[in-house]
Amino acid sequence: MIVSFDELKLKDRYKIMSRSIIPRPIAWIVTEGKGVNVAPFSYFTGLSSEPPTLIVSIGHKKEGSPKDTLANIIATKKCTICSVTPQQLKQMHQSSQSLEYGQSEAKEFGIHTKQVVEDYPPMIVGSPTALFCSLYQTIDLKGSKTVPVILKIEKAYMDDTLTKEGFDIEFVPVGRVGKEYCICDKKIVP
Amino acid sequence: MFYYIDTVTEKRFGEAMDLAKQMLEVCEDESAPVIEGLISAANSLECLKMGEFDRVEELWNAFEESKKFLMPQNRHYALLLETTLVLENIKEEIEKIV
Repeated sequence: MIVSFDELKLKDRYKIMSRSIIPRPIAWIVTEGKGVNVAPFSYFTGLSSEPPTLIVSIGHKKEGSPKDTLANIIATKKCTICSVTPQQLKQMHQSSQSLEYGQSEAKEFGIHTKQVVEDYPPMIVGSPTALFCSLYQTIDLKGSKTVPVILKIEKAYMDDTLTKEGFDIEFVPVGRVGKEYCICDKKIVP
Repeated sequence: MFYYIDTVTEKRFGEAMDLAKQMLEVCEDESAPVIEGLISAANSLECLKMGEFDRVEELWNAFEESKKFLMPQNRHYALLLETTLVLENIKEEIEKIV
């Protein structure tokens, strides 16, 4: 079957993309605005190690306004991206809900955060890694309300108990496959 | 029923369940299985919203089963059909949120 994306409804494009681009890592992003905002995004990947950059695509709220995460990144130029473990799955999922601006997901869903790097948003307690990023560039998708954001990694946190010599960190991450989540616990050594 | 649709659209599924339970007490016999399905659907969506994934499918399947009782001769057919479509759209919306 060959389908033309120009002729597809938005929801069908999403279905095909979200079930073909798999598994997708989850960026659990912490930003600061009126309060501490926490939200997960799965249109997310690394871009380059030099400069150390990654990209995350941030959509819009149902009524069309930018998501708080995007508004906060543009305002403060900073964010913290945390990895997600199976133990954090429920809270991560809950934090995907759209709340009123200024209402904190961290407070609403009992997500504990801790300040580990000065001048950056806090990280989520229990996340094995956190990337402290600055805004590098936003991309205009010509009329789309989705805004891809390139972020530069300035500092990284790694849980010492999971990190071996030479920055080798081992943990079981949660990813996104279609409309489901997956626990990536099987590795194949090439 | 309109309140039920509103609460579902606003993702206040607990309230939607309560409304459907109230409807169940006063509805005609022919609508009862469909209304029971609306309770299951709202319950399923609440579980999905809160990340209680174990019960989502079972409850949603109960809703899907209840649609068999949705007949054109039912006095509230159009409204019930519209409600099921709203539920399906909201489920899709929640599923694609991350």
